This record gives sequence, C-alpha cells and structure tokens, in this order.
Amino acid sequence: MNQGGMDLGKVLRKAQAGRVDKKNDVLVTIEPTEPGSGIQIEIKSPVIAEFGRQIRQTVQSVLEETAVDDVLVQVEDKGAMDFAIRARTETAIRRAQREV
Amino acid sequence: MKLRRTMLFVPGNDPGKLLNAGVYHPDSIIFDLEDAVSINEKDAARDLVKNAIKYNEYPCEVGVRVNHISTPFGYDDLEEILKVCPDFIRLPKSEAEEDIVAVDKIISQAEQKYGYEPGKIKMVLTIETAKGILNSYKLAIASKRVVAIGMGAEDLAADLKATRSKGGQEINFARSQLLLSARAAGVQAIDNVFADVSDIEGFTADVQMGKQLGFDGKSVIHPKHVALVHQIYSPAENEIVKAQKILLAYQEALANKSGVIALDGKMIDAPIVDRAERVLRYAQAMGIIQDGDGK
Repeated sequence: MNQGGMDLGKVLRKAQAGRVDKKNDVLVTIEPTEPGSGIQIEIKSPVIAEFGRQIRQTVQSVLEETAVDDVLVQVEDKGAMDFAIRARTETAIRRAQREV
Repeated sequence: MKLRRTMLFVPGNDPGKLLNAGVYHPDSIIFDLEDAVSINEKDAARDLVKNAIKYNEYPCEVGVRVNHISTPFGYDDLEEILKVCPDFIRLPKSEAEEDIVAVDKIISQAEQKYGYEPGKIKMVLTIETAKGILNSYKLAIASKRVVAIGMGAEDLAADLKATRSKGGQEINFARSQLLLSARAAGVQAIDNVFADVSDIEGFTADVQMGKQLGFDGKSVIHPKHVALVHQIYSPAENEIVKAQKILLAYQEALANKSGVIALDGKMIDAPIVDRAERVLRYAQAMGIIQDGDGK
C-alpha cells in the first residue's frame, strides 16, 4: 500500500462519491465494464477547457495507484480542487470494491 | 508551549471548507470526522480529510477529530488519517484511561511504520461525560502525547441531566474541574464550544469568562469567532508593560545572581514570572509586540 493511498482491489459494482449540489465538490461515479475494455473517463466541468486535462490526469493516477482497470468513470465537477477529486475518486473506488 | 487560543472545527466532508480553513488564521484547525459527518459519509470524509492534509498547505497546526474507537469508524479513521501525519488527534468522549493508552499505541505504531519522529503526533482530549470529568486528571496524564484537554458541553449537559442556559452555570463545576485537571497535569485547558453562533454578545461573555478562569483558548465552530477570541485573549497594554518590567527585573536578578527579586517594592516569584511570560506570548501572537521585546 502506498503511503496516504488505499488498498488495491477489483471494482465489483457501480458506486458514487461526492456531490454536484455543492461548490468545490465533484461527483465521481465508477462502474465495471467488460474485461479488456480498459479505462474510460467522461468529464463534465464548467472549467473543462482550462482544467479538463488535469482532472483526467488526477482520476487516471488514482486508478493506476489502485490498479483498477476495465471501468467507466464519470466525473461531474463543480470546481473541485485536486485533493477533492483524488479523495472522491478513492472513495468511489472503495465503495465499488465493497461486497453488497 | 504552543499557543492554542482558537481551535476551529471544520466539517470533514466539505471540500470548500477544508480548502479555506486556514484563511481565518486560527491557532489550530480541527477537521471533524465525528459529529459533523453523517454515518453514510464517514468513509468519504475520511478520504477527503486525508487528501486535504496531504496536498494542501495550512498556516497553522492541523488535527483531526476522529470517531471514538468504540464506534465502527474509530479504528478506520486512525488507520487512514495517521498515514498523512496530522499534528494531533482530537479524541472525543474521552472517559477511560485505557482508551487513551490504546490510541497512543496505535499512533506509536503508525509513527514507526511511516518513519515519523516518535511522539510527533499529539493528542487533544474532549471530555463529555460526568465520569470523564471526574477522571480528567488521569486522562490528561495517561499519555505523554496529550497536550490539551477540552470539554464537550452539550453532551456533558445531557449526561448531567442539566438544562443548557446562555450563561452556562450548569457546567460551572465541570469547567473548573477541567481547568484544575489540566493545570495539575501540565497540559493546556481548552474552553468549550459556544453553540449559538448568532449570539455574539453571549459568545463574548462566554469567552471572557473562560479567559478569566484561566483557559488557554477556546474551541470554536464558526470562522467569524476566531478574531474575536484572539482579541479577547489579547493582553491589555498595561498588562504587557508590567510583564515586560517583571521579566526584565527577573533577568537582571539572574545576571546578578540575586536571590530575592523585587519590582516596585513587591517581591517577584516564579508564578509571577510564569504569568508575565504567558502575557507576552499572547501579545506576540497578536503582533502587539515583536519576538524579543520581552527579553
């Protein structure tokens, strides 16, 4: 486990973390896709022109750190800073890894 | 000793509030994973606070109020939060010495695991029950990490079966007991939260009473309270001048190896010197005097 990071594991189901009704927050939804389909990231953000690439990189890096693959990640950003995007992605992954 | 005039609670699941917590310049920030976070969002708040500490810079010390280890969240909070080395853990519902010892052990293990300096992460206790108040001295000395103790007035009042009032008379004994325990244990005493954030007059009177009793600072839940508490804890000009004279006389006496120290015909002893140093520390924190003015 990396320091400050989280445990590795497989995404089992669709899960969310964060909110869209609050400034500086972000709603991250993650769901498993077909094996071999890789990582797909869809982003909605009022600052997509300026920060879309950075948001994608942040989400991508959390997925890589946790060795998560074959997922669709939808990001609805409300002006969240990098730490919040990371945190919401981590929580969404953790929730998606939990057995129901 | 570090100044803790204000310990500002910040809800742990609000990214905007976590981001801006330092703007108000409290002496300490406490990211709250306990009462401010609903049960369904405990995991999310934990991740958010962990990342806030890891990636943001704050102008003051940063601690985390975790859930108590008797709840399903306490151990998970500690496991995640200790990865990013907070300045302190604020432990709610402190009542039994064995809980303090257990948390101390968990912190020690984390310090070793992540290579932090042993003893770096401190503990601040919140005491919220009659049993906890009666046991407060033993709690304060249960771990060398404990640097301050405070009180959760609302929970305590409920435990006492008291009715809360604006003046807070119903918690007077507990407030004084907490202060006695803190002083006896050599840790700081942090006055309790004043819950009605819109009542500035009541808040001001409450802070003034806390200062008069001898508290080192106050827990606050609204940023607008920070400057007000700092102002009230700021010493008056005549107090500062007197403290400077006392320290000067004390230092001269030390230099001259004089056994008896007097100023304006009055004897100066250790408690008076301690009080003068405390006055100057608060004055320095407010920027009224510069570091070294009291020396």
